Amino acid sequence: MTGWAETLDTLVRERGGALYGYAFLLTGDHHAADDLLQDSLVRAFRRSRGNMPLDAAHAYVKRAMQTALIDGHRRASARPKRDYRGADRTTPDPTTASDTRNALHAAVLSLPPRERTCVVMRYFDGLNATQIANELGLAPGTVRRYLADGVTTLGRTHGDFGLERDDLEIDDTDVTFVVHSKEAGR
Amino acid sequence: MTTDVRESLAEVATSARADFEHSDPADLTVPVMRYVRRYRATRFAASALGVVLVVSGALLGADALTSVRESAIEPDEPVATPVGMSEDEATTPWSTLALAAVTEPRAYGEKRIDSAAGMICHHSDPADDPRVAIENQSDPLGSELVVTAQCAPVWFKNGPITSDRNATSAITQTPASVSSATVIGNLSDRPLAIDGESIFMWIELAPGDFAADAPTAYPHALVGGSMWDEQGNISALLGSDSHPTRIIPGQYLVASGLATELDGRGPLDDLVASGANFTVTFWARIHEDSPHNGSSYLVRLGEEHIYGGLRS
Repeated sequence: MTGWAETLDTLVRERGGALYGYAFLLTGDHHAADDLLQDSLVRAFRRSRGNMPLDAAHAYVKRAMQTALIDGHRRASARPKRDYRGADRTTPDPTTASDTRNALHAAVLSLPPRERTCVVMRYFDGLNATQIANELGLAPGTVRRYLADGVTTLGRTHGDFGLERDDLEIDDTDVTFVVHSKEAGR
Repeated sequence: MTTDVRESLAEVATSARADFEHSDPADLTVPVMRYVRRYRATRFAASALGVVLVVSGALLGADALTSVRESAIEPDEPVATPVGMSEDEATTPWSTLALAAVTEPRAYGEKRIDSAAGMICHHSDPADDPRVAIENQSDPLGSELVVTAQCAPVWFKNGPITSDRNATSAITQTPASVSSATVIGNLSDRPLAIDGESIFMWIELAPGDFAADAPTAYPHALVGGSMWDEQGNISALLGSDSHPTRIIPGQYLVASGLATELDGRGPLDDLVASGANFTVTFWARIHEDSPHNGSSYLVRLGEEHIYGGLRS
C-alpha cells in the first residue's frame, strides 16, 4: 500500500473516531454519518497525490463534511428526512444530563443544514464567524446570519444554554452567498 | 446536569466516536479505496499529457487467417437455463444474460490456456451497461457525486473470438512509445461492431496487485498498477463511437495502437525508462451490429504482452 492509500488507512485508524463523531454531530443518524464520512473521504482522496500529512488530511475530510452539508448535495436516500420547522415545536423536558444532551443535539439537528453546520462549527469547533466563513467559502455576513438564526431558534426552545449573545448580531452589509470553486479543473 | 451546548455537542461526538472505535476500520477504508481507484481510473487527463492512441483497422478475408480460426475455441455445448431466466433469455445470442449463461466463470487472475479470451462485465439487469458502470453526476452547484455500480467480470467462450496470432508489439524510448496490434475475428454467425473510439491500451504495472496505486489515465491509454480492485471489478471506462467498424462473420479486424509521449516527459516516458516490468493489453467495446446496437461487451483483444522497460 502506498501514497494516498496508506494515508487514508492511517487516517481512518487514528482519526476515524473523531471524524465519525463529527459526522454524527452534523447528521444525528449513524447511517447518514457513515455515508457522510465515506463520501467525504472519497472527495478528499480522489485527487490527492502522494502522502498527505495526517493533520492536513483530517482537516480536508472535516471540511468536506461541512461543505457537503452546506451544499446540500448529499444523496437524498442517505440524507435523514427532517422537518426544519420542528425546532419551534421542540419542548424539551430534560430530567437527566443525557436527556439534556440529546435534546440539545436534536434541537441543533432540527436546524436547516447551513445553520446547523455553522452552529456546530461555532460551538463544537470553537470558531468565530470569520473563521467559519473562511472554512466554508461563505461571506462573513452570511455566516453571522446563519448563526443568528440558529441561535435564535435554539434560544427560543432551550434558553441560552451557553449560546453567545454576540452571535445574534448581524451585519447586513455583506450578506451574500458565495459559491467558491468546488473542484479545481472542471 | 449538562446545560451548555458546547458540552452537549462534545459529549454527543465522544459517544459516537466510541461507537465507531468498536467497528472495523476496513469496513470504511475498503469501499472508499475502491471508489477512489475507480474515480481516478476514469479521469482522462488528456490533452495536457499528450499521449495518443492511433487505432487503425483492416478487414481481412477469412481465408487469410484460417490458422487463426482453427485455433479458436469451439462453441460450448448448450447449457442448462440458469435459474431465473426464461428459455428465450438464455438462448438469445449476445444478450448479457445469454452470454453469462454460456459462460465459464473463472476466478480472478485465472487465464485461459488458449489465446481466445473474452470477457464481459455481467450485470444482473441486462439493460445495464456491461462496461464498468461509473458515472459522474453534478448538482446545480457544480459539486460532483460519484455513483458506482457493481460489475462482475466473467469469461465467455461463445462471444467474439480474438487472437494475438500475427500480432506485433514494440516499445521505443525516444520518444517513449508503446505500440501493439492484434487480430479480432468474428467466428459467430452474426455481424459485430467495434467502436473505434472505445479501443484502448491498458498499460499495467502491477497485474494482480490490488493495493497498487491508481493509474494515470490518458485517452485510450492507461498507465497504472492494476485494473482490478479487490472485488475483481474493472476500473476502466470506455468511450464509444457513433460510427463503429463492422465485422461480418468470418472476417478479421486488425487493430493497432500506439501510445506515445508527444512533448516532454510524462508517466509513459518514466515507465519505459525505468526498467520496470509492465504488461500491455488491448480492450474494446464490442456489440452486436444491429439497429439497436444490442448488448455490448467489454472485451480484451488478444493476450497480454509483457515488457521490461528500456533503461536510460
